[in-house]
Amino acid sequence: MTRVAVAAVAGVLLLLGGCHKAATRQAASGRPVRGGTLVFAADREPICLDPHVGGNMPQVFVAAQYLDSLVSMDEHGAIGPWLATGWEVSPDGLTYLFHLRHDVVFTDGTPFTADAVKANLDHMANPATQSSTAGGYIRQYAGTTIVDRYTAAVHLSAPYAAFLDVLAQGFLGIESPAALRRPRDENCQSPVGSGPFRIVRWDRQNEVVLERNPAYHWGPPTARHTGPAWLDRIEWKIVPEASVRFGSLQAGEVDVIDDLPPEDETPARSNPDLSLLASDRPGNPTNGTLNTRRAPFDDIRVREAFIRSADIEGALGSVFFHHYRRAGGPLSPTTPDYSADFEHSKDYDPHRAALLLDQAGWTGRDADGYRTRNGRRLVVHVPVAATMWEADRNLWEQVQATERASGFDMRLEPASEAAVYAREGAWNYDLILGYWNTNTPDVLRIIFSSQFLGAAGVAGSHQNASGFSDPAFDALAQQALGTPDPAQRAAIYHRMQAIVASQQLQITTYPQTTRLGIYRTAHGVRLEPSLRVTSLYDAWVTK
Amino acid sequence: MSAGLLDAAAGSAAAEAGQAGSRRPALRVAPALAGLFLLFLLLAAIAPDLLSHTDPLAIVPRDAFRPPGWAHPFGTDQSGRDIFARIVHGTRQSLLVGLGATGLAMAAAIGLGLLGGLCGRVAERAVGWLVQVMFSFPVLILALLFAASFGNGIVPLVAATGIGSAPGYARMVFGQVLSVRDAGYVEAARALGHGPLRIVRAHVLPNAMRPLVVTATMGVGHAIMWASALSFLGLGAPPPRPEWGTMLSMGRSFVANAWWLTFFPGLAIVLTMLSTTVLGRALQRRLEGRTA
Repeated sequence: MTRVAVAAVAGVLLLLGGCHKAATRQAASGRPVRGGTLVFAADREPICLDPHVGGNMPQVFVAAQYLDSLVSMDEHGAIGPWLATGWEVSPDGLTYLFHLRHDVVFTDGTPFTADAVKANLDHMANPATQSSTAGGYIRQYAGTTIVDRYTAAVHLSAPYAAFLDVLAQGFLGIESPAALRRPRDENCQSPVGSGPFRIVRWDRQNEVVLERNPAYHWGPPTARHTGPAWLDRIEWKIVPEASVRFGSLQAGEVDVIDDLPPEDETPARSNPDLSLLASDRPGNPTNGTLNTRRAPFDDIRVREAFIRSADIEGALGSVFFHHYRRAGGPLSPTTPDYSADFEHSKDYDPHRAALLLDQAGWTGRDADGYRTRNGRRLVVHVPVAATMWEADRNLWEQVQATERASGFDMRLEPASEAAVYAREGAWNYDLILGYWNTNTPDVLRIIFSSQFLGAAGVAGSHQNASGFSDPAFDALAQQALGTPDPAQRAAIYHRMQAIVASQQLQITTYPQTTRLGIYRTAHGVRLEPSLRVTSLYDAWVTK
Repeated sequence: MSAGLLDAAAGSAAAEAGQAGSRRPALRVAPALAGLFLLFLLLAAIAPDLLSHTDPLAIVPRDAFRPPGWAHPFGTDQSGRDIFARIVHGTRQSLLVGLGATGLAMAAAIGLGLLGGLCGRVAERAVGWLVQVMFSFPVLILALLFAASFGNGIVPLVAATGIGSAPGYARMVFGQVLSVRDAGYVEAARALGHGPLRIVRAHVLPNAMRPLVVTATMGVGHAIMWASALSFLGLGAPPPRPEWGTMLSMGRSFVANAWWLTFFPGLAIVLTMLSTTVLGRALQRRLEGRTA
């Protein structure tokens, strides 16, 4: 009797599941519905909602909902219009003349004009803003002249081939000049843009609430519709605990989560209520950068030995369940001018590591099995933030174990995020964990050229964390930015990738990636191609 | 939280003490088992290699997430490390933290208790006030506060847990000293012309300490739990050192896919707590029996 009942229930459930799937697919391809609230669960909270200040990924995730950019970038990397309808570049590459839309209004009522372009670029370049990302991207900025109400001429101190690419990123989003004039903390709390949504409030450590901008009709060409957003409201929750985020998604308490943990990808794929939206981001992959400014990594042989002792493939298989691809070179595969030639330049090779360490004089072994030279142990100090992502933590613990086999005493030293930043600023580390998301190979200049050895950003850390400094490399980086021909430029970036790979500056692991888990109630969620950042402009909910 | 429950258990143990001995005289199996388990832990702490030949730090990525079986009795973790080996090798640290923290807490408590009980009115007031204030903070909050200011590692962990649990002991010692201070035999000793130091050593301390022995036995288990909680929160020893609380924390994201990552470290903590509590109660019965 019970068995029959169970079978019957199972049958009905199966049928329902089948219908259900069909229904979901229909809704996904069906007509968008206006209204409703989408609940989004993010893993990290922005330090400031204005993406000009500092400039870390959680800031741009929120910024993409309430800010527009001057230009857009499509899936093939081509630059298109957005707030600027067109532009002309002077033959010397030093002046960009932007023609602006006439019909854009910020959500505080301020009209969008050439003044706004000037105010925004000035704000990013102003040292008081402590802009590490946007400010770092426009080091060449020399000023803006207002030609007329809707025409702005932006002047650069040196040619900058990647200028339009970085302008397409949310980090350089355009804010209301009136709002920017307020004190920094106030603008962090309630910045104002012209985007499809506006910030209503930010309850720290809990949520950011956004509401539709009813006047919006200036979306980018990458969007799927025109006019105001479909959603009335977004509740952008901060849920750091990965299992809680995934549990809430399975229960349908939230509609979309970001940073779907690797261990939940397989269950997510087999769950008919869920779908996955994943895309690898361009830039410098998730990595550990070696500090070349002090022993033991001032010796290139020790650097290579260390990199060759890290079994990244093994960790990607066990901790990441083969869901993440390997990124073995200095650029992630989705970066323009990426070359696959360097993918295997640093594969796990403990034999070569042993040889190199012998050559470098680390021939002794102490009682614990670690290598020594002149009685001193081969120690690698790695400050790690307590807030570090579980999967990364597991990955670096596995690296620690394979390093130990080679004789490295790699010490993962947990500390608060602030303490890690402080050590970064003081060059007090041998290995620092990081990544850099950007849509241009010019990232190589930012993280390896001597131009970026100074302190930057709110925390005073260095964009070039390896301390690497090579005039030939710097010259190539400059040359690339002044080379308008794409093929020639690609050749230069190839040489730059070769230098970085041969100098043994990083252990690269996997590309930075956007991985959204989407419940069946949410549709039309899209990734803006420039940085693969979530855009909810085209999204709608059926509840 | 469990903290409340555990404190309640300890409290009721003290309250029931008078009748416990007569109520269940036949129940000697539990203390024996508890004793056996603690002996096993002691062995694991002194000579872990006798119990497990596997290296607790050896990672084998292709053996990740193996369920319990012949090769790995408790299974393997996300890096293919043997969980049984990690628990065995984590024992020394857990026991050290438990004993060290309890010792520290007792030392602090005795100092405070004697100071408050024997050094005049002002000291009595001050100590009473201090203990009350500290007691109003939950143990974990106090321990967190100290762990956050001392940094990571085993010594800060011992200090944080010890200081966190000191107020409870201090209140006990203080109360005992106050009651013993005016007892007849102390007055008699004073009348016989014994010096204050001798009185403290021969009369006050032994009598004030007796109930503390029981509480401290159970306290070791509690300290291990608090220390595990701190390392669960990321304030323990840095990786890759095996630590029960850290193992729990690292395994928690895999609860749905690989239960053994959290089950066995959790079991070790629970059994340790249970054993020290059972043993503490047995000890209590014997002590009460002797005085009665």
